[in-house]
Amino acid sequence: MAIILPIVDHSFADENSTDTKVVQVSVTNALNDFKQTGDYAYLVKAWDAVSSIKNAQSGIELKLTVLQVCYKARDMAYDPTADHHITLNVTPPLGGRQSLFSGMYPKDIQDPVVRKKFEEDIAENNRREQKLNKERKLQQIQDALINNVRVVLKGQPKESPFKKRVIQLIDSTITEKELKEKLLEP
Amino acid sequence: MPTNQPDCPCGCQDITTENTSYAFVAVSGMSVSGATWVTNVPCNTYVVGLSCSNFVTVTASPNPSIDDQFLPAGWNMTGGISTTNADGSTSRTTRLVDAGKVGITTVTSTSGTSSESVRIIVVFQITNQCVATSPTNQARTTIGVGEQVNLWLLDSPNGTFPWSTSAGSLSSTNGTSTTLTAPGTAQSVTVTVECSCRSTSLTFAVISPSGFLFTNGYAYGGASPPAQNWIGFDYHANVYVQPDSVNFGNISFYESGAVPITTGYYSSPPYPSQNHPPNGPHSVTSTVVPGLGTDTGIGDEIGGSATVPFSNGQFTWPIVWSHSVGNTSQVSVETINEMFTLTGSASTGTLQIQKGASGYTLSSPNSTPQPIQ
Repeated sequence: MAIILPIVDHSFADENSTDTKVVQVSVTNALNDFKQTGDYAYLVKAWDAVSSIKNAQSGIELKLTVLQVCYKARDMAYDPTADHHITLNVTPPLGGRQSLFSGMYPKDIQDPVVRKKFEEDIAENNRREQKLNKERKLQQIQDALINNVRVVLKGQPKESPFKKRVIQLIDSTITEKELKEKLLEP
Repeated sequence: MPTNQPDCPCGCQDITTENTSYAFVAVSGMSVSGATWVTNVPCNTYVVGLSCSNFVTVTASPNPSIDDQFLPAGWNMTGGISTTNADGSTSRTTRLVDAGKVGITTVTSTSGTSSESVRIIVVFQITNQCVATSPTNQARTTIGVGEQVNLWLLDSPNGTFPWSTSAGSLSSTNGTSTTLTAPGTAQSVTVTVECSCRSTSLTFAVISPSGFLFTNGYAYGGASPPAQNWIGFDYHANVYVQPDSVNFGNISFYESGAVPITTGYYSSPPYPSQNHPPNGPHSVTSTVVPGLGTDTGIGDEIGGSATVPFSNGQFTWPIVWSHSVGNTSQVSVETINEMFTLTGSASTGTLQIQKGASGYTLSSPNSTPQPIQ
């Protein structure tokens, strides 16, 4: 598996520090694992790793790389703010010979047909919630990284060379126009 | 006549005597470099972030435009620090303000009856803006557990400054900006940023969820005797994290397991042993609805049925609701009862189902549950 990250040839202050290099290895491994498995837990791991960089001028390229991968991993047809009919508890099919309650254990249902339908409904609800959790988490990572870069840019004086270099990095790392615009919003 | 003497094209007056022309020189304006003009503030005010080794330059412009050396004796400039021209003479049109000292400096240039002033304000101050756009007050310093706040040094001073926080975490610990992520437990959090010549702090009150609010959504699937040999229904409830004054979008929440408390009809087996399984973690939206709280975006399906013959009785699950932030342990918030109450029997029976503040009731022989909220 090829390493995803480009070779950094325009390092910022502390970009080549030992800590940053350790994070870079962690991020690279996590992104490669994500590419192989599709499991977004590896993107969360990459995000946790870049979040550990506490020098404002370090790791910008790493953060942009994680952001780019995270953005591409999103299901853009899925709106995390829409109602996806997900509930904390599920009600079993009502009626029959037994009094029933939403949120009960399936094993407590005597009728096997009712119990099976209840188990299927719970599994479907869980599947929908897992999808929601994934998209919410990716949205959260994306929003946090966008905010992180924008805060760094906003904190820089107008003619700061660092600011110019970050803008160049955004241009070279981020491929989606919409994402670039979000990063550069005043 | 010197070459840089004025020709008075715009308002100065020439008085020509027999041999000499005299010009009245006025102060036409003041320019400032190294600080930012502040709109809607009186007294021609500029602001600059504290920068220990920098200076703000204030330059007065004479009208007509003439060299420093030809300014009349009545030309005067006060405030700030004097500076020298390239030839070593003291500049009469330029003054410096030390950006390494917090405070207000007024620089004034006077010539005869004309006068111009500027105020230079050197600040070392943190500005804060909550990342979440709801509640609409993003400048608040009361924030929810796990909530994020962007922090900047006012007017982006030059240099790099160490930041620290008493709790929670910062996205960066140096520079002119950072983002605070509040801790997972309620407490006071102070963020401090330092300069070699000063430090400044900002304190936040971090609060935990005070409760979970259930509101009635819609009810469905109602049935009762004599049309059916059971009474029951479902309803959907919306769930909000309170209070509505902060954003709890970064928390997860949980329902505990619960053993039922039963009376009457529900006291007989198998009901007393029918426990409630725990669930969670559940995520939360970043939208705060005024008057309600942070919308979880995940509803609850609440329902049940009782089979004929039934009689008076109550079945209650006391469910402990808790929250967590990131990988921190769960913190209990409150106990919410999920309650099923039966009264009467068959054709005169009523089933009331409640969870928290939400609930519906259905009486025989109807099939449409009525809200009790």
